[in-house]
Amino acid sequence: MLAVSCAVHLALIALAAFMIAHKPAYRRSSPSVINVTMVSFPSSTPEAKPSGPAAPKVETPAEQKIPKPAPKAETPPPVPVEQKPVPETPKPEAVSVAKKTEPVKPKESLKKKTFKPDKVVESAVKRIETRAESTKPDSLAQALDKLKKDVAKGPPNQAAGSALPAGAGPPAGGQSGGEGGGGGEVGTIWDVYANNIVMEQVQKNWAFPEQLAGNIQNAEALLVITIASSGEIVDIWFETRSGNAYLDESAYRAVKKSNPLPPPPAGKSPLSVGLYFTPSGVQK
Amino acid sequence: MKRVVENSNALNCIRLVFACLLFLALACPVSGKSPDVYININNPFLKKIPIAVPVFKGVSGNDSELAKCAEAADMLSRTLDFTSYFKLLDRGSFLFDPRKDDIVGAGINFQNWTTVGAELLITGGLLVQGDAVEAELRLFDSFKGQMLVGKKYKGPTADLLKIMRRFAGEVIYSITGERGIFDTQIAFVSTQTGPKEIFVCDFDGYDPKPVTRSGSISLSPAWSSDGQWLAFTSYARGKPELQIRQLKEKRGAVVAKEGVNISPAWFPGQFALAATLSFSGDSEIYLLTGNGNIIRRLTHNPGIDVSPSFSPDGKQMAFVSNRSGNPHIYIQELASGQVRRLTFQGRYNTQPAWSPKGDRIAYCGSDDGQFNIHVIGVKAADSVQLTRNAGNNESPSWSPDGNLIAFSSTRQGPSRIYVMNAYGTDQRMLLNLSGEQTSPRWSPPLFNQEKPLDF
Repeated sequence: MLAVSCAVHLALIALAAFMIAHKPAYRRSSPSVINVTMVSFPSSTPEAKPSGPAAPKVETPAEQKIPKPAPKAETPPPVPVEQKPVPETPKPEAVSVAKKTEPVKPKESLKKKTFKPDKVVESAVKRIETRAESTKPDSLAQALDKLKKDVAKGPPNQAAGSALPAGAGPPAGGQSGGEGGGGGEVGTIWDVYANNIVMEQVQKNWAFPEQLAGNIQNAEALLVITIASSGEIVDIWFETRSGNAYLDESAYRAVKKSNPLPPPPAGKSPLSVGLYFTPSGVQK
Repeated sequence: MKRVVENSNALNCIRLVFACLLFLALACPVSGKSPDVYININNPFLKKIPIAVPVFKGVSGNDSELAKCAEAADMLSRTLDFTSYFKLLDRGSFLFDPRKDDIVGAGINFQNWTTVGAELLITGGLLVQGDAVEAELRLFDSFKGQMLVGKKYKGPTADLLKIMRRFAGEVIYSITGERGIFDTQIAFVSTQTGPKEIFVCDFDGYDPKPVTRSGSISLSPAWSSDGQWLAFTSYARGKPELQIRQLKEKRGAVVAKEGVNISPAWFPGQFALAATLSFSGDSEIYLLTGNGNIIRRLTHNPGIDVSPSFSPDGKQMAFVSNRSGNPHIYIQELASGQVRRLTFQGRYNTQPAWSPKGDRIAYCGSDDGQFNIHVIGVKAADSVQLTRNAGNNESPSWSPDGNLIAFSSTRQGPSRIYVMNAYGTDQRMLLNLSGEQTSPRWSPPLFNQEKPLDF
């Protein structure tokens, strides 16, 4: 019995040691920026991913000028996601969920722009389908490959991260990081999901009286949430507390109230999202 | 042998370490992984905290007690609502009958509250016996199912409002870490009884009553920083004189020098006040003792200098001067006498009120003939207009916690006292008396005063 417990304990120690040894690497790689590589889908420029530090400056104006193309380029991703699971992913839940969202989006966005909706929609759907079939599995595979590579090597990831401050820096760039990128850079589908769906829902549920914001405009809490494929928030923890008790509490409650979220795009499950809460926008 | 080993202390220690490691091992896979995506959330959609205050429970259950339960819950709701921190949830939206639920933590189904969006929940139980009441009140974080504060009060039923305010103070303290305004009053000028008299009401407009019954004109009330003294301008003897009055003991002093004796403002923490006196032939601001003797002259300028307001640390004084032509607000360093102009916007800026936190000054400004409340940073001088298109808005006065501003407005015809929060939102009428109400001045906390004034 002692032997068994020793063995188990040793295994746990090893595991713990492993985690601890790896933890600093993770931390270092993502001090305040996205840890995820941005992926360019073939529909836009294929390999425009910048590695130099000058990249973000180019990127930001593009985001502001052309915010609309991004969603278009991004709507296809769910399509392959939906098709892919048959050969690859074993989870059927994600499939059905992805299916629901897929047909609606392209129709809506195209209708607005055309005079003969039926035909255009039909052809657009066809076009998207063919395009999706031909390109998407690649891009998704690419994305996953890249993610794997980035996980494997720390420093390059850091560079990639610092090249994309828009995704995570406290200034407003963070919000446009996912939406924008029409000019060649496209966030991952998870960036888009987090920056739009998660942000909107959590912000909608966040209650913070403006009187309390007065002296803590710069306070910042970082909460990390883990989202299951069903959209359920299965874990919440504070990476950094703000030092202001009410800001922390209100952030926690906002997340609690936002549960469950709409299911995240498949392929990354569970998905973890870091939420920086600051009251800087309270007074316009 | 195993047992022997098990009993050994050393091994127990090792076990503890193992247990810790196990805990770490379990915790690490979660917290060690860095998030896939980061997002910023900086603009709360809700600017108030959703709170549920269901009707309290009667302990004995008789009818008069039930009536008191509803009354007390309403009192508490109104009091909390006044702070503009909270969104009181409509009791009709509750999904079940809260009276069936328990009022202590273990017996509360918090999901009933989280599903209606209540972040905070207050439960109460009342025991009414004759003229005595016992109230048990608790504040919960409904998402964590945690009690944040719980208090028990005993007193005469007539003091029910006092009890509710006391608990509201606890609620505010547990959320903001600051004592609220529930033991403050507001002094103002009213013509309810005919001529302009000084009145005082509770912070939320309850219980207005006259302080002066001179039958002449009384203006510009000003509280001492311990709330024991009120100074004001009185025309009781024909010309503007300064009355300094101890509110409880009905004693005081009068400053009746040649010319005008007006616009008093107490010096923080001291039995001293500043006022404008014109006995020298020119309106200047003087520092006086609480007994009305001149300590020294503060301003030295041939123009008119009026309406002093001290910074909370007592090192600076804001005032109005027309030295540059039109009335504008200036700040004087009291030690050096150095003066700088604060307001440059607008044609006409008066009635400065230094915020209790010291960083901003509220004032009344006019550009187009209409008077409006503005707030300006003492250092940055970034002016923000808080009222607009709603009659004339004048005489701003900060609540002692710096969260609210009382002012007078003619937005509904006759001048009345209004309150808004310090950013200009939630503007609402404080009280509705006949006649006109002007010049509100918020008192410091009046009860449980710890610091007596320096004489």
